[in-house]
Amino acid sequence: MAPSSLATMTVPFLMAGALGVLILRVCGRLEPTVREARLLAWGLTFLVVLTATIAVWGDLNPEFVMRSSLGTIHNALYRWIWIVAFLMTNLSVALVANARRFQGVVGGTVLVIALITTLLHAAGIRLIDDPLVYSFRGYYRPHGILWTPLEAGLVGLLGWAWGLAWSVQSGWRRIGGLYLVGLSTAVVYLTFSRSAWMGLGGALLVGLLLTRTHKALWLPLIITLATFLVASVALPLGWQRGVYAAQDDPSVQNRLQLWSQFPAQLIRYPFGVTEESADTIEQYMAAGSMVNFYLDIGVQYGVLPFVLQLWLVGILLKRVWAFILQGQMAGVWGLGVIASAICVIFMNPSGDSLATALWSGFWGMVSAMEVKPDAPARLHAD
Amino acid sequence: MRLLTRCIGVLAWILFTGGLRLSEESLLLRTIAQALQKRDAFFAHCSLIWDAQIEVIDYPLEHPEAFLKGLEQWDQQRPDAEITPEAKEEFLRKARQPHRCRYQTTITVMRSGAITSLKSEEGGACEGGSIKKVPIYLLYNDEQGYGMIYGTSIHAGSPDAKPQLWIFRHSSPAPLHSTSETQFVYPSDWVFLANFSVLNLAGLSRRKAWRVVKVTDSEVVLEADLNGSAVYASLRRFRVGLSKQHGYAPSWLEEYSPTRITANNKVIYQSFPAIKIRVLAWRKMESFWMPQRWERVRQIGKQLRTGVRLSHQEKRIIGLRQIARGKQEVMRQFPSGTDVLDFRLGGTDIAYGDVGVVPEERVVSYRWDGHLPPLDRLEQMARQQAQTQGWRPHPMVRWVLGSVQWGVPLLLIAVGGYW
Repeated sequence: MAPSSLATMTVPFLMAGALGVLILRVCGRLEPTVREARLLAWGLTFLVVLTATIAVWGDLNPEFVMRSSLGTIHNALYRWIWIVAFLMTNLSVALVANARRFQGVVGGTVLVIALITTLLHAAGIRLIDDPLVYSFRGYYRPHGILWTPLEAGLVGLLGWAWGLAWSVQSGWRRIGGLYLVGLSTAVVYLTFSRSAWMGLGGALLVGLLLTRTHKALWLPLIITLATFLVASVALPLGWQRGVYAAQDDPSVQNRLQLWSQFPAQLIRYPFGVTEESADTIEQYMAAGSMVNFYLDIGVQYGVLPFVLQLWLVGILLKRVWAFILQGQMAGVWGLGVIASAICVIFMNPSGDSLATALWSGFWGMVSAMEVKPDAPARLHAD
Repeated sequence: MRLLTRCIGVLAWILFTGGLRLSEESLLLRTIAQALQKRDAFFAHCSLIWDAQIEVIDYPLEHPEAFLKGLEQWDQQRPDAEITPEAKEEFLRKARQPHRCRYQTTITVMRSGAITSLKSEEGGACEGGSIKKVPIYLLYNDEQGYGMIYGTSIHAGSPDAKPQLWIFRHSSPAPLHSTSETQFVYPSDWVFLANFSVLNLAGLSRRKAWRVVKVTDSEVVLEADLNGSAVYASLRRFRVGLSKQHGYAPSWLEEYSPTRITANNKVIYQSFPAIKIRVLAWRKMESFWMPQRWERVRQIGKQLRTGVRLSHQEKRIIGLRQIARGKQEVMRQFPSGTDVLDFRLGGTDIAYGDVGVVPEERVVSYRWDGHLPPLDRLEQMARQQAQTQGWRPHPMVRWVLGSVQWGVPLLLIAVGGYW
């Protein structure tokens, strides 16, 4: 076990404390008054909007952001933004109607912009001049205003779930929802992000269960499959991308190698690897990313936050499963949680504050949806 | 008796130190220095236009697979990005064949006392037989001790980048200073392009570094080493042949790079010159000789036991098109509005390739309006820049910003505790 100073242990304990509060809130152990919830929800909304705005501004004008104090503010906030966004939407959906509406409009708009810019990027129109290019056999993997195709794929999954939830409703939301499903599926395919594909596949399978209670869900699920198939026929290179995973793909090999080191890292650094505690610079660099959101929490913050975040995700998935078993509408939204929970096994979006705010805000929103205690378990009639 | 003792002492000194030879050598060096100084002064006010035929050859990589492996190892640190098999094949295909490019350019040199300028169009990377030319414009002022380098790819790497003007502070003579070297124009080029005295090259004369290695009926061969001390960062050996019949004007010059340094600090130089210049034809201006046509070969390679393996060679044949003597004003004709990065506050003799060592707050950026701000004005501009661009918050504000990273989770924990 590496020696740890009080300073290096502070962040893991703070992370554990914040996660503990989140778990208690999701479990319903913390019930603020509406006034308190409103104050906190708007305060957290301000932090999330500020951090995400600086992140996007940093993409457009990195020199200015790095030179000004905006960069300092972003660096101070970004590691907490997934917890802040989670709690923000959780409180708003449950207790603060006007904050919920604001977050819905802003989040939805940003999500659509992220999807459209990714499509434009696929068509060769780049809005952000980034010298780093993600390619596969000559094909440039698009990511629009987001950092990498992985984040674009993750946000595509959120858009897909949003589209599903609207498409089972009536009127303009149904039409808009179906379009959003098609658009998001196309984006997920075009990013060539296999983690997003797996997330989409897993959520599709679970979604089939929901079609027994929500017949209207058949159409968007068929549109999802059809869009994916049409896109893969139009751009068959994607199949090779899938096959490449089994053909010594270095990105797969690297992930496996990094993950195999995780238990030893956790034992060696129970309070997370920091620049001060790492034995070698290589170990510190290796802890930079396990390319797995869950494992990264363990490596960067230690055992306690790792266990707590698994607990939090476990509660969330259990709740989504309950929604699905009871045939609740919340289950449709929950498909987005399942898809993204699978997706972040193979990536960590924390570096991109915009993608993190959207993804974690989505989880927070679903976590505030309540399981109806008296609802019949419709999938099991017996 | 005292006189006899002194005579014996002088004789012993001459015998044991070779003092007579040294005297002869220093006498010869003094004669050469005077001749070259006169020649330098004669050409101090003139403008020269040179036509250059340039051939660039990039030889195949020696171990392209090993090079590619190194690239891949670096790439593995970013598991989300990759080098595609097609890109690897393309790289290996290109690396296994030589690239040969030819182009022509015109080099205009102006000398007006302390001010020297050079305007040209130089080629960037050679690929598939084609090369993109980019404009460069260098201007040095020895009296005021500054150098200005204008160009596109020479700063930013990409020929499509926006041109910039970089300004440095130099000690005299600026063009010949080793830190003035850019990838297109070397200090030794100025000796032939502008007829500067070769003895002043890289400050070698001031350091009394030149030594006579050979004297024949037709030429004197001098040699000097840059030993890396003081302002001279890089080790280099210069060897120059001075033609007696052309008033000691340099007829050839070779520049050697070090290959290794032995345990007793002895520098071993490569057997082949990194730069080799040879005068092919002469021209007489009144009583002074200058090159009419000359060849400059620059080569990058590796010293092997069995010989030399070149990786890059650039050959230039440069011919004089026009020369005009007389006083004229050298204008700072940089396009108005060009982005300027002024490194003068960062120190004197910062090498062109070492701008990264200059602290960010000592690099002043502004737009070129035809006037070079003096150093005191530049100091003011640096302070203003620090206030506007790099806002330095009050220590209290900085403390608040720093504590935000603890404040957010603490707030959440406190709120949770309260609920």
